Amino acid sequence: MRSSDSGQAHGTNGSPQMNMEQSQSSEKAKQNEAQAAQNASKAYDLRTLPKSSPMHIPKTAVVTEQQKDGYQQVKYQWTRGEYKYLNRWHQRTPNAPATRGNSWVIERTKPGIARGPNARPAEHEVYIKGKNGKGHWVPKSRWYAAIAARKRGTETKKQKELLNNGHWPAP
Amino acid sequence: MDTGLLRNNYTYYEGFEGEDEVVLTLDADSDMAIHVWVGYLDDILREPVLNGSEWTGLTRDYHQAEGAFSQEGESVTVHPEEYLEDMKKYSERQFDEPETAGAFQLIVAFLEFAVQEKALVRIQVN
Repeated sequence: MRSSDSGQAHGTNGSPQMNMEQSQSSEKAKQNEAQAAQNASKAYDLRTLPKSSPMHIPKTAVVTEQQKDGYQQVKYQWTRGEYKYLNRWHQRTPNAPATRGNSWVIERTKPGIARGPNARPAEHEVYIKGKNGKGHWVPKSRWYAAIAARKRGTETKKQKELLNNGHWPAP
Repeated sequence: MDTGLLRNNYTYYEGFEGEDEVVLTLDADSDMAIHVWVGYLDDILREPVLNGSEWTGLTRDYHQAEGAFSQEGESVTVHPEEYLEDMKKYSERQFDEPETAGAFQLIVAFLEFAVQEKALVRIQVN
């Protein structure tokens, strides 16, 4: 005799029909437990996370949850006007300074145009907090240069500030 | 280049964990894969040709937010010939970062190998 572990009051008279129902119930219960365990292991709550973003995230944004190597990340992506926005919440990444906790990093891309009178490369930018606490856009090439310098151990004070101010504190 | 160097190569991604990486994988052999920090790719592609021609390969994907660089972020499977020809346009460029030249050589070598093997290449941005 097998008892259901779903909590439901199914009898167990041993008939094939009841055994199949019990088996399906049991399988569903295991799936629910697995989902609950996965949710419990998340370091964030999707219902409240967007409110902590330094930039408004539209409800239409596409949300992608990721378990990366050693940290969790949630991406919000949307398009507004000519720009494609990527707003990432992530836990401290492996090479980040020890003092840095969870962060928001916000980027946008204006796709380039290959031909014609308005031909131009893409514009990739990162949103950086200024001295007044407000954000402004900075070419991502500067961001990349700062990251490369940090890896080499040659980052300047300004580059360190850029990386710090591009990682907006997050819950 | 020794093809062993094209096997699970993280040379130009080590130390950048947590940052975006572009991964090129041989569709027929997933162990033949190179991982490159996107910052190196940005350095390579930063000044695309603007001569009235359409962009191709990684130039198109990166600058027009298509393929692996689209917002969908899916991996794409491509014919390497187009991507190799596109990469070679940057062989004379003076890169800003000292290590970018090595990353460039690795990408070219990988694509040359794929062409030689008549294999498709999967590109993903993580």
